[in-house]
Amino acid sequence: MHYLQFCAMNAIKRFYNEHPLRTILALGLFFRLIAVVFPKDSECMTIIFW
Amino acid sequence: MHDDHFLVIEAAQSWADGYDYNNWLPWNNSGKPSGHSWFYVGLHFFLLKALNFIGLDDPQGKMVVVRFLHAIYSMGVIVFGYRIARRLGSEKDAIRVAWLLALMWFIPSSSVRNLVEWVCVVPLLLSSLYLIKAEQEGNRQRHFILSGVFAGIAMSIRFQSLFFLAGTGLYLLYRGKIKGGLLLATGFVMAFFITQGADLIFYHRPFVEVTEYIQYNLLNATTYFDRPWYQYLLTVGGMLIPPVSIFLIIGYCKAWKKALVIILPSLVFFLFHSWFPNKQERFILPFIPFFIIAGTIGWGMIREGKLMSKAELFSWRFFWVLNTAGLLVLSTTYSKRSMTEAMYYLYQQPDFNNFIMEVSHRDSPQWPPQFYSGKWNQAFCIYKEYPTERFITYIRQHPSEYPHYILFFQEDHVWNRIAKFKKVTGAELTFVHKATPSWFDALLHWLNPRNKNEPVYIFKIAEK
Repeated sequence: MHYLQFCAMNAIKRFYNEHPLRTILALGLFFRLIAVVFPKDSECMTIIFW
Repeated sequence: MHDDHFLVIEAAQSWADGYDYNNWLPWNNSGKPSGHSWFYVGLHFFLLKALNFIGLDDPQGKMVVVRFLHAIYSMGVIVFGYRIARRLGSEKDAIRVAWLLALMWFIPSSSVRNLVEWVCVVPLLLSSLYLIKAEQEGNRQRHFILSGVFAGIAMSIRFQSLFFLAGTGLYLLYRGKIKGGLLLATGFVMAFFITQGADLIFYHRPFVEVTEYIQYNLLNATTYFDRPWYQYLLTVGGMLIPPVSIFLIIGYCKAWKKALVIILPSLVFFLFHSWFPNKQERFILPFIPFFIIAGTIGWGMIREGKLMSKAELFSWRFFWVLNTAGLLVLSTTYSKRSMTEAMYYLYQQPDFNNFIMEVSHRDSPQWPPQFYSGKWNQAFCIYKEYPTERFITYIRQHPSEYPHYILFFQEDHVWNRIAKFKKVTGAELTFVHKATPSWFDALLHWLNPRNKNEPVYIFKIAEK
């Protein structure tokens, strides 16, 4: 298991070093897609403090 | 009072269904413009019309499509933010900008909403990118014109984008690029005229909506909020999580010469909003990406060739820990859940014809998003000025309009209100569903009671 984790981390690091922007875009898209799944009030950002 | 959190989709969907829910169309409002740009709402009208056409009727399903398209579109913020930073600073700066624009805690969540303050950011960034290209690639006319075109599109989405354009004008004047400025203005006028074309169609005059919008805001500058000038300094300093936000403020000041092309427009925008009394957090959103880009470039200039100190390293770690927590929370929240779920519950009922909103303890009701009910008929609202007695007088004269459902909002004396309704109308009520707020709604209510945290009790009405 640890070996697999090590390999996965190395692969991610290598990919990031070679394609930093693509990695960031993939992560950015991932969190946006999570936000797509959960309904939001549509227009306004909910007023948090005032 | 309609909840303007759902303004865009409600207007667009009602038009797609052949109604005019907000009475924006001139023949429903005595020919007076409503003061809303039709460009962004119009795009939603075509999208929702297309979804109707292919048979996607479910409101929640439609909103998944709307949010998905916004998610893809908002990737432009990362790409164009990166490109601007790459042109004005180093690759390292650009990568840091991309990280922040991709994963800043409130950005993914803001990106999937019908939030005009965020939707206008992509054309604003493109406008800046083309202006930088024009400067760096021999003042090519096409780039100036394209910069103006994207500024015009941004202004059609959010009228206040005009202040970015004013800053750009100042910048070009400072640089002595009069011809470039004229080309940019030409592109801007063309794009704004075309994207505001609905004014010509409906009112036979150009720019009536923007004129009405300006007049309304000048007359109502303090109607909603009247906040001090330093409010947005605190907002930006807090939203970007100190002490990293302090680094960015220092960087923003440091980069004034190197990144003046984005600093001047964003600063004019920031100063205007700081001066204008009506301040809400979302109004300042278009400034944030520009602040991040210029701040990161400036901080990179300060840090150039130096090793990161322990304190700075700790600050960035602190930032990412807090940011990740906020990102996970905000991306997975279901806001305004009870109002949405109550309407969606009605949508799912085969016998749903109309409903009564019961808020008899309130002076001014806040209307739930009827978009999710799938119907646009005029629902009844029982509140202080329109008590149950008036409702029953009306309905006795129009018995065919008797709604099948009544919704009691908020816990306040709810069982007394239910008993009173039964007594006055003589109707039998059967409890069918309780729509509860999300935990995030509860948290927001706790942070600021202005945010409503109201369960909705839905009863089926059986007339006697």
